[in-house]
Amino acid sequence: MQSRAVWLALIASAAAMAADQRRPAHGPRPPSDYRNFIACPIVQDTDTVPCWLAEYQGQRYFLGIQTDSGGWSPPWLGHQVLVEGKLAGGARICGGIPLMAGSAASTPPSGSTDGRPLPEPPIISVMRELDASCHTLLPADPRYHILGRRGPGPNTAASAVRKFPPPPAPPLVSPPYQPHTFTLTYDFDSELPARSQIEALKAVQYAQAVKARQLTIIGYRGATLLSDGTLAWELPIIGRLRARQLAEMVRKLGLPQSTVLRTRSSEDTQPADGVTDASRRRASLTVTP
Amino acid sequence: MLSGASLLSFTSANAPQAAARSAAVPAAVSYWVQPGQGGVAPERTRFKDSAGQVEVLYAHGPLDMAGNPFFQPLGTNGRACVTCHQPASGMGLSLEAIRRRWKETNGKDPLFAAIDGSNCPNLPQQKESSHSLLLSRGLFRVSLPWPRTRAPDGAPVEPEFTIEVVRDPTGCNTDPVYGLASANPHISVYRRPRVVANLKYVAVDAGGEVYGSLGPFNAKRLGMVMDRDPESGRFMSMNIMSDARTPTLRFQAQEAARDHLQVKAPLTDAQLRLIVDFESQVYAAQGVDAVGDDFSLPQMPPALGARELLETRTGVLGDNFGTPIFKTFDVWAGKTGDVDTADESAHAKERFRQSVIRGYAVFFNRPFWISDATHINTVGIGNPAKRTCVTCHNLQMMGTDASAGWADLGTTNEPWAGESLFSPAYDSAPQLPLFRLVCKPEARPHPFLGRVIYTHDPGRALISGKCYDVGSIVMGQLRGLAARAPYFANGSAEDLRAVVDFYDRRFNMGLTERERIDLANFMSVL
Repeated sequence: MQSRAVWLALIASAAAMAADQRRPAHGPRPPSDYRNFIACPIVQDTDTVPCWLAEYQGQRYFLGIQTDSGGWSPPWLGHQVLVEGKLAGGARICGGIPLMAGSAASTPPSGSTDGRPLPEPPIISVMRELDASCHTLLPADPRYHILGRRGPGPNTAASAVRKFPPPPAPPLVSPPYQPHTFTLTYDFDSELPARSQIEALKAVQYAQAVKARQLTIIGYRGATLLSDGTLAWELPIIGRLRARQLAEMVRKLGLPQSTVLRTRSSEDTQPADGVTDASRRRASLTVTP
Repeated sequence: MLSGASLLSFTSANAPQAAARSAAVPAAVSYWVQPGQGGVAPERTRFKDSAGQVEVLYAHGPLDMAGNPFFQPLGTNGRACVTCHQPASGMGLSLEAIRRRWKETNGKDPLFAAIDGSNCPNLPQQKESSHSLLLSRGLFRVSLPWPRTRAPDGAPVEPEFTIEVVRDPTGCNTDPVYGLASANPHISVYRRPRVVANLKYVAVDAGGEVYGSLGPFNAKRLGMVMDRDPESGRFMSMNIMSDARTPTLRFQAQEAARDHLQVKAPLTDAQLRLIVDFESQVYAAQGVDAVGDDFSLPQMPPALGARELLETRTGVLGDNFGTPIFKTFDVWAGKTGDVDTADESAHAKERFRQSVIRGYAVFFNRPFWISDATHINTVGIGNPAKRTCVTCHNLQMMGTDASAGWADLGTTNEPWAGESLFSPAYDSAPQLPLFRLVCKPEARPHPFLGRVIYTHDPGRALISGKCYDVGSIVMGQLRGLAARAPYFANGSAEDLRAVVDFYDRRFNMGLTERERIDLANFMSVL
């Protein structure tokens, strides 16, 4: 009985979140060459690394190829994916119309096909909840020739002894100290700042250098304007989760005990435009000397 | 006093070439080190195991066991560290050694202490059935506070899930004294002891020597800062324990003394220093294969044997053609034509060596679809990913993960765990507890099992409190395997063939019978 109640509560909660996430848009749509949509990803195997595709309004789009960790992060079967991209032009790749990153920076090309470099992949975010309908894996097709920077086997890099560059040097600052804000960006509905976590370290180093009085973390909730005109809002709690996760991170990175840490959350105030939305899924850390 | 041993079992590593020229492989026998027995252990010792002989090398030379607290009964139950980290098991503990010890002592050895050498301390300790998990799968009880409120570094933890006991064959999780609903609530999970050898590859600073770390950050896209060594302040690799709960060997020794040796007072600095110094210079690997020969002989693959582990640098990524995971086996390649056609043992040796080479090739080169494995498919390679074994088993010489290596392969979570109804290993009388975990609505769910998870051991999640860590276990090293069956943290693979079969089933690899044999042979020589 108790477990049934838990289930019902979970279902109600999930339904409420889902309803809240999609709101009809009354403003402009993204530019016509942008493709922002949520769909199941598709794996298209090749004789080398697999391609990742997704379908939207009857068209199949090429997103990217399997890479090594550290580059573009391909989608996951079992989950839908939010695609934020722009038509890249050129011939189809792995049967899909190639998309590329829009205005927000992504990652460099991860390989080539038929002598052409692959476009810089679009921004993708793996949706948080499972979707069992996302399970399409297409067998290798001999028409597709992909040369990835990293194949399915071991790496071909000459050296495997990698010394990561040392952390950024503590900033050289002198009085009068100024407040400074550092910004981290996120995947849709994610509180894990995988790509910009170094900004948290910079903020802590600055706080140490100026013997900061206060560090204020604001976790923002953003939204993405989809190509069909709907507005996909992130989870209502995502700003709070981002702020909480960052607070834990800066403490572990060595925020001075004397620095007062304040956290809060906020909704992004700028309207989603379908172009720059990814850059506003963010959290800010403001160091006050 | 050596129990059941002969000093003839010792081979000095100071004269490897002499041993190499000797026609006879040194006689190796079973050997149990009792706490406080004293004596001097030679620099290199070999012990018989399931494939030949495992060898243990003390880099600092012959060891005076009487002078080292690792070998002393420091607590109230008569155990020492060595009780569960036996040289004859490659510094782990084989099920065979456990069973033999039960038989030899009629269950009176400190190994079977009620605190964790039985299914639950509340059971009648004289009964064999009260120690069934140790005697059938080599599992010790690990009792952890739940709900956890603090991380090992003191940071607050807010668990993202609730735990309900679905099945409790040991009775410990529902026990009024030891269980989850007791006044001092703890969860009991059951795990194999880890290997105390080759630790320069395992217990390291995350900032410098570990390939997969990003300075203070975990490299697995978790936005997570690595745990620090509380003394030096350095960020650590978090690969020591199966749930990564201890950042350093010193921290681990103190915790183990309290929980497994039942010491009355914390270990002193001097004791800790001696234990850590000892642990940091022990190397263990297979030294002889009964068919494939003595690996200290000339013309042997360079990665084999304990001395090579001492001499190779750490922090090298082996998922790389330039620095392959276990170097090269080329010296064994293409020798079939040189074999005396009348010498059947020479033929057997060549057949075995060729099998090992093929097994290495499968391990290193054969792609398959790795799917639905948290902290593998979620680290930026996509789900599924067409890659090879060495994608994850990537630290050269070790076969561990160069990053903080916890991942959910399905060894403890349903539906893949060994006791699942879907598993050929399913036992009609399950031995392990089963828990039902429900993730809170705000939590990021487990990436591939969602918000309701059935598991025998939540693994890393019992420390982090995170739903996405449920069932994640830190990968164990691949050296000296033949000396310490069974495998996986929950002892669910009784031998190396069962390990291969698990992976084949879990990832639908489609391995042929020959590939399975080759892989098991390959792992047996490590």
